[in-house]
Amino acid sequence: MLEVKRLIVHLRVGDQVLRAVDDVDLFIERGECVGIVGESGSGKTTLARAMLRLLPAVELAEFSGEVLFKGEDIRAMPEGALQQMRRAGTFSMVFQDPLGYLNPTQRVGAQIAEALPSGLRASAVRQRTLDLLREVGMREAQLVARRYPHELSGGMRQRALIALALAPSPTLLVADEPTTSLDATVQLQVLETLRRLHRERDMALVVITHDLGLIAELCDRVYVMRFGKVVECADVFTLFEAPKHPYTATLIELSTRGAAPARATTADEVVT
Amino acid sequence: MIVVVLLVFGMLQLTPGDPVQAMVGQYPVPAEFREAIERHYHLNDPFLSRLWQYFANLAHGDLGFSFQMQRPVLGLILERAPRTLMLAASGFLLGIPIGMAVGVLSATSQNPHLDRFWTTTTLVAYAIPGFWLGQLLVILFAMQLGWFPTQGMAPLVSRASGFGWFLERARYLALPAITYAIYEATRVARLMRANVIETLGQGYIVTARAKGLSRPTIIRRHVLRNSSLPVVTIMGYAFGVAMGGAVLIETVFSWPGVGLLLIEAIRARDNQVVVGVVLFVSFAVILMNLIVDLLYCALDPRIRTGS
Repeated sequence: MLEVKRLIVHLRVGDQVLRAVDDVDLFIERGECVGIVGESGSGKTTLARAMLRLLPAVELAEFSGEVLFKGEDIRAMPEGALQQMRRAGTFSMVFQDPLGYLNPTQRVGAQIAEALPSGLRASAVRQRTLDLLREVGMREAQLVARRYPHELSGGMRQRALIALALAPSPTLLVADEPTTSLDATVQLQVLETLRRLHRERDMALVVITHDLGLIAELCDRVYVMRFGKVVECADVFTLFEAPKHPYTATLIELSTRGAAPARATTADEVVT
Repeated sequence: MIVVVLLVFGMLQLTPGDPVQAMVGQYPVPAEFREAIERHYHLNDPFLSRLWQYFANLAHGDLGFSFQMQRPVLGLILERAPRTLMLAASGFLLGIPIGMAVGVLSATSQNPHLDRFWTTTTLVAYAIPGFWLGQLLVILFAMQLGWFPTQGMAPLVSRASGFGWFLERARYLALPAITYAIYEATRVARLMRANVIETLGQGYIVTARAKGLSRPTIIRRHVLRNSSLPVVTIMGYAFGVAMGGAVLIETVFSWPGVGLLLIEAIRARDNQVVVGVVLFVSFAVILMNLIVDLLYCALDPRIRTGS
């Protein structure tokens, strides 16, 4: 469905040029869940944003290669066509920091409604907004829709942002660190929400994270990034059983030694 | 407010100058006249006793008596205040929208030359002193073209009433208001440009782009309101201060507002009037701060729930 070929993204940071994404190839099949892991600064967020062409043009020192979405090159597309594609719900993104990515002076409901396809009647817009909020597990959808972002808790904000991303009924959802800023129990709820949506909607899901536990829970295939390059690509079982790249092995070792086992047990408890 | 009175009262105590001499002009003051005046206005009473008397009067709403104009200070200020309000309000009403438009245009322009053009224009206009700009406008529009009167607020003899009365004054108001507006517009434009650029870097703008909204829609729905918040604060405060009159503009155009009153009072050593005007301005600033706070509540939901 999505195919990235020889993607190079160089960012302008002050006077310097940062090689954020350096010659990356990857593909995502329809309905698949793919993880992109790497430590902070490895270029995974930049890669995700470049794929959906969300990087501001002024920051780009170089942006080359191909990003083919159902055969069309998003990278070279004119702005107008791109806007149409976004409105039509081909792909959307869940951002890392839910407070910063919601407009502080607009009600949550209005912000979700804005992402719905245009041409709906007011009553339909209201209904769809509430449905979306319920779909991401908000019980008091009506109340939440009337709230401003700062009046919600971190987990609720993250879910509001997911609801917003789901509004155009995307066939591909890119979630950038969807659980990082949340505490453990809320992480689990958001994870469950994502898993359920992925299954129910038959939507391809790309999860960007430095948390291998999350990858193990959710993904079919994984790309490991380091210094702007993909160093390894494998399905989840192969990756955890027999990592080819020494960097991957280090990552796995670090994550199993740390908090990951604790997470896994709590996850089991909730599932049963 | 009490602190303001103490400060101004004390400072005027230290400034040189003799009100009795100022009343008489350049002639020597007869001794018995000086004594009579000093007795009548308690000029030679000890500082603290005069201060106490001033506060006692203030509590009754009496701002003192101007011995230059031979009228109560409160009446003087109340007579001048609407004129200054009219000038400042038209300056702000004209200047703020223009400034905001220029700021937004400059910040959102995709063309760096256009941005540079606006930034430079604003900077130059900002740096031009108001009194000089005012004089240039007078030379061009009043003296060369004869479109507007050179100074004053209304014709000496006027029989117009209703809308005609207003039109008559609008002609006098035009030039000082434009001078005022240009200065306010440049301030707002600079502030607005910086705010818009900051807002454009926020995450929710990326969210808006991800929604597939067009650039004008993003600016209208997500940038304008958030960028206007600091402008409200600054301009609200500035409007309070403006109640003291734009001294230079009022002087250039002989606009008989509070600013001109202050200048006249300082020249005449009419200390009661000076204290009165300062008190009036500080009251206006406090009032405007209150209004700004209320406006902020309406514009920014984060504050509404915070309080």
